[in-house]
Amino acid sequence: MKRERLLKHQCGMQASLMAANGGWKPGVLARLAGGDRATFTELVEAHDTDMARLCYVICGDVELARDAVQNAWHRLWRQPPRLRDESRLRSWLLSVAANEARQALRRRRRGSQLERLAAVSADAGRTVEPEVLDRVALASSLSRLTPHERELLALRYLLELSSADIAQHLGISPEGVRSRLHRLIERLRKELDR
Amino acid sequence: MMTDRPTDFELRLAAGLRTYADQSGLMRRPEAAVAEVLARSRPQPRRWVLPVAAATLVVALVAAVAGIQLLNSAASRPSTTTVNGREYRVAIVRSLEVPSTALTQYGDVRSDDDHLFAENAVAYAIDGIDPEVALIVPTRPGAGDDAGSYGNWILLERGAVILQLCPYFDPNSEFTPPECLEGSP
Repeated sequence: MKRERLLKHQCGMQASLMAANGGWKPGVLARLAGGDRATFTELVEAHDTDMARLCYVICGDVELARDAVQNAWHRLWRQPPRLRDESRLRSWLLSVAANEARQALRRRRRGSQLERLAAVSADAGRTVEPEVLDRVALASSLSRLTPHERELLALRYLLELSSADIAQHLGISPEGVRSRLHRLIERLRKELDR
Repeated sequence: MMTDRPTDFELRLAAGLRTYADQSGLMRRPEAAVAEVLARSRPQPRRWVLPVAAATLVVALVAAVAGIQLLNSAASRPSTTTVNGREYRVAIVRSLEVPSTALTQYGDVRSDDDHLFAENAVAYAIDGIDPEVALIVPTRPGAGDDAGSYGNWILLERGAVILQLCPYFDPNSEFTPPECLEGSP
């Protein structure tokens, strides 16, 4: 029953993403270049949350994540990309935001919230639902991954992109995505699924 | 979608990531994000104006100081004088030393300024320098001001000639024009 609920949740999420992704009206980039605020606002409404969650998983810090997303929006507004396929704008936004988050992480060399979360008492963050991984344990495992690995996990399991979409996003082959994910999952399973 | 049939662990991982990323400070109203971007994109006060103005002021000050030095030393221009019907500006070049082998008599100096020139002074052309651009005249013996002697020669010029005269300035003299010092462009 709980598994069905999770799947239903994921399907609903995917549907909303598809709507956001497939709902492009032609000429969105041209309108952006012309300073169309309504178009810009629609894009923010559609993608801001996903970008923020992706950035948060990468850098583990709310403030850095928000700044990274804001920088990505600013870049889009100031200089919209030239994309042959406008439906790839979502992928472009995620890439820019993720890149900003990684850069912000490099700039800020102090411990991220990932590490702080890992350090707190396990009881404080333990979830009550057994089908959800323990939040503190997950944070601890995430903190031991590279920013690129965290990005890969977020794209797949948080934003639910397909291997092909992730491959486009990261500039690697779908097989490469599957291979990396497989290794990551096995590693996390050993750490978390006890 | 994740895979055709996500494993139980993958489903738990996805749920865990959603919980982990569900931070209250992370979500915000889209209008706030838009407003922030638009505010950042507004034309900012020209922050470069102050540094540029300061730099310009510094350059002007340096130029003024250099000019004053030049006036005081190498090329002050108190008056004009006439040689062979052409009018030349008169410049004091205290540290100029030209060997007689490089000089050719060019013409008589017509000037009422007996403070600078001896009576019946003669102007000389310098080898390699157009006499219509520059000549030199022996300084009246003892002529000088608070900065010291005017040197041996007074320069008469009708164009920019200092760089051509550099070989004849004493590089160790404090009165040598800055343009002629080593390291000058």
